[in-house]
Amino acid sequence: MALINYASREINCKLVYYGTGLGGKTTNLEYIFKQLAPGIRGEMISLATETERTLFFDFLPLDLGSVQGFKTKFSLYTVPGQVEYNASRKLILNGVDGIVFVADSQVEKMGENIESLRNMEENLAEYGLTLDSVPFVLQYNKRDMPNVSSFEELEAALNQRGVPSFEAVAVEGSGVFATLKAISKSVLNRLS
Amino acid sequence: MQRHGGHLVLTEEGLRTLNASLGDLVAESGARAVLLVGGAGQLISAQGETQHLDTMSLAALASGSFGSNKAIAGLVGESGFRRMFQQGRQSSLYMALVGGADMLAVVFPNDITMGKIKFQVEQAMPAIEEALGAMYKASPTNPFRSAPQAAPKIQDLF
Repeated sequence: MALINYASREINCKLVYYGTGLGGKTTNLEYIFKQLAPGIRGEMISLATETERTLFFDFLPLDLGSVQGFKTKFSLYTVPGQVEYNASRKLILNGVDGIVFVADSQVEKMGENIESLRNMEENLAEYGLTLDSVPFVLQYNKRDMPNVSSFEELEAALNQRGVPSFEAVAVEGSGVFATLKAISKSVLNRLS
Repeated sequence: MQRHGGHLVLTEEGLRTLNASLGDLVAESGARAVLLVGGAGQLISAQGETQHLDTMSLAALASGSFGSNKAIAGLVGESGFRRMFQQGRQSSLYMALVGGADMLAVVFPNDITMGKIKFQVEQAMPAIEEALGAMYKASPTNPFRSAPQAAPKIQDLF
């Protein structure tokens, strides 16, 4: 649910990074936080365990500039990827305007990716949403790892809707901004 | 509170009405700040001493806290907790559900009693719900189609 403020000329949208545990969702936000000037982004908040696994969510507010007099503000959230934290994942999807699904490219993670995608669709359904009604892009992360599925294999398994998809090495920043750009455009396009 | 079109469009007139109610709540209760937060965690409006508060983060975290307590409520046979209170050493936070999904977060110093805050919130709630509800009802499905002159040129963004 986007918030459009005609008084302050602002559009406020919620983007959620979803995916398996240790797939690189938090790393995406950390890279964005490090690369952008403080005037563009707010402070990043991470509700994490002592071992830095996301416990509830990460949150990063961004001002992505003005278009025709409207300031575009995006709130970036990650969900905890671990299977047992589904209640938190469901909560964070409330009011989502756009989704980045961060898949772990490693061969042995394919099953977890498919399960996480299925779990996301189930959780969206609880809000009356589907992947056809919410802007959605895919990121194939960890392309630098030695044993990864091919791009074509990932597409065949995860991208049956043919949405925009990006190869990434989030820890180095590769593909991070391309993904953010694609989902931001898609969300704003949906509003118009 | 009925929601139309999925998006909330805040109009100048609607916000003026809403902010008057939030401002009255600050004045009557002595609270430091009052935030109106959407169910998705976004800040709808704030009144009071907000210049030294990270209102965006406070809104996101308060919403998460409220949401997680809804799950706790389920475990004790409730559909949700409509009011929540978090006490600090010097400041405290009182949160109240607005309509079905949004919430008020009231930050107040501990020399004001929670009972006073609670009473003033209950007094202010009907006007806040009415002002917010009117904006939900008036929000179009495609806000920029309704205002073509405001349509953002998305390609200019990056």
